Amino acid sequence: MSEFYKLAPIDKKGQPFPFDQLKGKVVLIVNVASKCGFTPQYKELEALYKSYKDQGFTIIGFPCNQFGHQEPGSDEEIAQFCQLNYGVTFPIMKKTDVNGGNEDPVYKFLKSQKSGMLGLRGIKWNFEKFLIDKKGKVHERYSSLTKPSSLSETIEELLKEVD
Amino acid sequence: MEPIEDLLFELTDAFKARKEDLIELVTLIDIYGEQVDQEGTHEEKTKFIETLNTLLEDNPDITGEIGWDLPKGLLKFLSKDNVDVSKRLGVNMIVQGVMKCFYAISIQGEPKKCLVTGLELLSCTSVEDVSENGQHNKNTLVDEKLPGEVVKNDSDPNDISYYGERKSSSEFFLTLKSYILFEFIGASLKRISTLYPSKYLGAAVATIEKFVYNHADSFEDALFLLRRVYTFCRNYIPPDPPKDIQLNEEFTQEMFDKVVEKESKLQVRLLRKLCTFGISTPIKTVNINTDVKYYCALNHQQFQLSVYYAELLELYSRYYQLAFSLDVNIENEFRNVVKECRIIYKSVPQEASAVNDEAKLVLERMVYKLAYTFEVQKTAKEKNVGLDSNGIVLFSGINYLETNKHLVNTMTITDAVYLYLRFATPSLYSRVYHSVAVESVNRYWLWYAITTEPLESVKKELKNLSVFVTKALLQVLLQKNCVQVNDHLRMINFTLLTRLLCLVPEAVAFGFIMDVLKACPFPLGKTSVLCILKDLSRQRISKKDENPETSLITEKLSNLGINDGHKPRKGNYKNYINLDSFKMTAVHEYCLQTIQDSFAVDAKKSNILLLSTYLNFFIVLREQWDKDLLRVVYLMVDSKLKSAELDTLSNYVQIIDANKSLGDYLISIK
Repeated sequence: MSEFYKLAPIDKKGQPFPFDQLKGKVVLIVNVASKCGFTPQYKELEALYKSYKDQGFTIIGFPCNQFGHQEPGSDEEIAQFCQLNYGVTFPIMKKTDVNGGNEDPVYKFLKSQKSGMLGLRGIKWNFEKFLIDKKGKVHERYSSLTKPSSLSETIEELLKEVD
Repeated sequence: MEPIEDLLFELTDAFKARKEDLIELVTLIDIYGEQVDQEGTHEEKTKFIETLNTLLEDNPDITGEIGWDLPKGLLKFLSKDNVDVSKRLGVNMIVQGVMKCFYAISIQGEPKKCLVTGLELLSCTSVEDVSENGQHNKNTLVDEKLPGEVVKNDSDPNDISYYGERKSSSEFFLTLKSYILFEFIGASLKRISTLYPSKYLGAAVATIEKFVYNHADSFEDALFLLRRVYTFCRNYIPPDPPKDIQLNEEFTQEMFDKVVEKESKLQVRLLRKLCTFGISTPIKTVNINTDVKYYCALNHQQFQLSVYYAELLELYSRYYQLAFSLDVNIENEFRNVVKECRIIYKSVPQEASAVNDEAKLVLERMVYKLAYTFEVQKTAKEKNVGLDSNGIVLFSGINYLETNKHLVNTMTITDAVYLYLRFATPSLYSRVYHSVAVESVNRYWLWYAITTEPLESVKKELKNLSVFVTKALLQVLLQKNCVQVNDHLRMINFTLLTRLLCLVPEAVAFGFIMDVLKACPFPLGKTSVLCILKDLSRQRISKKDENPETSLITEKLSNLGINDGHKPRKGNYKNYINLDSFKMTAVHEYCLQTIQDSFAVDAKKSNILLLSTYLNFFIVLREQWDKDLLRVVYLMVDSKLKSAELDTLSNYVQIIDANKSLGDYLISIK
């Protein structure tokens, strides 16, 4: 079994969110922030989620305040912001660190599986994305500049793969 | 100058007609540009720049050929004559036009040539250069009024307060030009198609470092340099390898992959170097306040920063996160720096190994120079692109500012002392190594060491430390603090010095104080150590203080208030410095010298202030002090006052009062 499914980050309500419930799904993991230039990507993320969720696709947002302190609110405020401004319905986790000594184990795993630009493991900014296939393998890592809508084709291909 | 319409027509015509003779076209643009800039009105200049921009945008082929040759001429338009520094840049069409031209060139120009031009211009740009450029034609300062804009005599007070921050116009133009050049360089780098991008990134990093280095001391606003370097590092995107590379037997896919991998590593190293350099150099003269924050936390005081320092803190945070993005393991790197410091100082011998006073003096001086010599040799021998140690130390402090946690849990006092000396002493030999920010972080580590490690182990370590090292630490701390202009910081640093003096062996503490009273060039140093001596000879420490589990220094030294009443206690207590006849005589000798200095013809205010401090010192310690010595001091001052010129007596008001008080006491005990 992929190490990915052994992970269980804490959700916005403080409850564990075991990743074993994601087995057989295509997953997009994004570190999000409410006050970032890339924040409008929420809209495209939600659109992606709505388009493919019934086919076994999900998105998980990890709010993070490490980049420019652009996610200063509480977990409740973040959830409210996502809901009110972008109608986000995909799961949002508890605010977390994605780099440094207190990085969330999810990000430790993801970064170890796929490096970014110049072979660097560290997350560069908000709205970096990791796409995970149905077997829990990190398929690709995308920078903040990559628009969520541009991932449709890859997501469809991964969804077609046999479990 | 010919009418602007004619000139612009000719310029447009030149783009059409002289495609074959590009050198002539460039020359024409230069000549017209210079003529318009020198003789034209603001409106004419705007028209010229806007027309040039349109021509560059409409003729990408020509821009591709000649674009790299235009930036120098374009930058000349950014001068006092054309830009009112008190107004918003967004309304200045010349600035907007120049920026648009740069943009057109950066997306159409030949990228390698554009990069070289950008780097050349950045390395040449200086405050002086900008001032000179801004001087010409200043009698014809153009009113920078927009068409249709109503001239208002009463400027918006909000505008004044905001743009009033642009204190120096020469610095303003330097920031404006360098901002454009940084963007131009970054944009050009992205477009270079090469298998060896590190070559170009390396050139850019070297030029940026030189620019930052040359301007770090002169810039009033550290934020600008911090922002530019940060933005450059964060926005760097490695160029793609050329698409037309022919893979064959001589250059296989495997070889290609290896080159790409090696190049990636080189680029990462360059970016890491620039990141650590970029945080340390612009804030060399800025207090990062790490020690202040820790001090406030110790004393349960609120730590609050002004708007400017809060803005700086935000940028520190961004650099800190950037370091993580670049996979810099800050904790490991900091531990390596600490190890390096140990290597520098671990061989310093104990005092006993010095056979005579001359040898002691040599060793004392050697300790001061060790880190400087190490630094110079390290720079000379450095072959690889390494991290900037100052930047790593700063990150250790920023970690605390950012997270309220300490980067390492254990910091021994020995390591903290070595760390402080390693980064503070080289600046005594060269200004190049001066960094107020790094000193602040290293003082924080000193505070951390003495407040988290068990008291007995701190004392034991300080006892085992070479006296030469301890003395150097105390002397450098005092010296640096004597030139500290901020009262609050000075007080915090004197508190640190006092606490260290409580922890070092008594003989070392007293020896240091005597050295200062004898030879310190700063009057403030002498008055300060007298106050510290007064404190240490009145404050008591428990002799029972043997249990390391319960003996945190914070608790033990919490009663170090300067004005505490002298409350003799019975039992297991002793003073930090016990006054015996030897010590009293030593202080007495220096006091007599100060009396002489204070009444000399060329007596300075600082001499008189020092004498006043001595007299107050004796008044406070009169019960403990040798009464015969007190009488000598009283009589000598009294005699000097009596023989002083009447018109100078006003300078000695405090001395007269203090000596009278001392005299009254001596009469009372007869």
